[in-house]
Amino acid sequence: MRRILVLLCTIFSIINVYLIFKWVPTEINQGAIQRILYIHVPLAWISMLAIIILAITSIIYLVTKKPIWDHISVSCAEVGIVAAIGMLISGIVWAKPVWGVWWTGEAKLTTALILFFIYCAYLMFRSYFPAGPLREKSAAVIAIIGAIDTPFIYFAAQIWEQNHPTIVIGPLATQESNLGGDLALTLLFSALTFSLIFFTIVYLQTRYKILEFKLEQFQKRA
Amino acid sequence: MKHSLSALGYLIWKDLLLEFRSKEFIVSVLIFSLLTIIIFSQSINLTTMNPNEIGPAILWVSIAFSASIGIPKIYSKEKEENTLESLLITPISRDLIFFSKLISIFILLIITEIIIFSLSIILFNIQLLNPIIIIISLITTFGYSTVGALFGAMMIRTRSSEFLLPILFLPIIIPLLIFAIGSTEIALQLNDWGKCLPWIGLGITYNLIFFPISIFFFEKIIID
Repeated sequence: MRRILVLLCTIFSIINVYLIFKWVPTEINQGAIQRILYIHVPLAWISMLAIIILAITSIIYLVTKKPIWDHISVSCAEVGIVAAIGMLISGIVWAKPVWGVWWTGEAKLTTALILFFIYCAYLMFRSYFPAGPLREKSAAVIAIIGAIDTPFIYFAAQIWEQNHPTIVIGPLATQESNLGGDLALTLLFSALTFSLIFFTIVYLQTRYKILEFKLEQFQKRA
Repeated sequence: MKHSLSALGYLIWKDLLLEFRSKEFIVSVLIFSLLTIIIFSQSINLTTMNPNEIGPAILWVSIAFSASIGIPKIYSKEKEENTLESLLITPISRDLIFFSKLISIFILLIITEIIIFSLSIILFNIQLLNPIIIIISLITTFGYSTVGALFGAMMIRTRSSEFLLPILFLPIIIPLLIFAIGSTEIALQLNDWGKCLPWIGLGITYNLIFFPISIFFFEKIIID
């Protein structure tokens, strides 16, 4: 299973790099810098997906109290924070040549930054709180509350109606900002690749955490 | 019902009495927010800026920062005296313990806000005595108290509560902070209920989401 997933990730990544840098045509208005879209949007997608899965697994943990769900939650948070950092950095790099500024106080950007701080709060809480079931329960509550901020992030552009580009693909996309066929296909393939990488890393991390947990239990018994 | 209400009254009275004896919460929150306001007002040239634009941001940010410092004080007595266990074994609903903490934090924050608002009127020359702003303050303070009461309870069993609480509390209350700043700014500049209503709706929605969630999760995080 582990080897198959890693092999799939490698193949998909190679195809993805080819699609982004060779196959897809350069966008007329923004030029080569627009290619960052194929990295930025999937990273944003992963950071959102991670917090949703984190909230779901946290709810399951609170209901079942099985440690496996807590291990999956931590793994999601760890991958999610990396994706959030990637999303913020790629967004900043993209914003400068397109908007003329590195950062603006616009709602969508601010809420994306909040998401990063929520991941930070979750992981910092876990590392400072004494280990035990109460830490896991409290962390699960933080994750659920943090995930409630996610709709604020996704719909911030609609709620606050400020000067951020509208959603370019999916059910909420407007006709004017829709991507063309090749560009949309590349973006979807990139999102798929990043999702596969996300699930692979979460799987590997969870596996590692289960082994670590078993070792701790064994050491306690010994 | 009558028994629950009298128990709630006693719990709130206990918290407020302890606070009025020690004055830990009010003094720390008040001094910290005043310092923040004065530092901001000294570092920004208010003569070249519109105080109606800059004032609400400084005011609400300072209240949010100081609330994050003050909230652990409400729970610190329970931690120092180990009284939480006694509270948990008393034959009252756990929700009442949460409500008492929420209302105590709310009352204490409102008291400090009255003093901070009065001083802000002098420092920034802004008209804060406005029914819209009073409603905005009540909604915002209720949101701060709800989230604060939940996260404060989480921090009882850790030694780093004063450091961890702001890290947890501030990202979660940012939507509320944006609401408070945005709506206060509109209220000061336009004094128009119609323009403030979408913002007030946002603040109320936030509270409607976080209030039941906080009640639901309080019991889960308070029992080991």
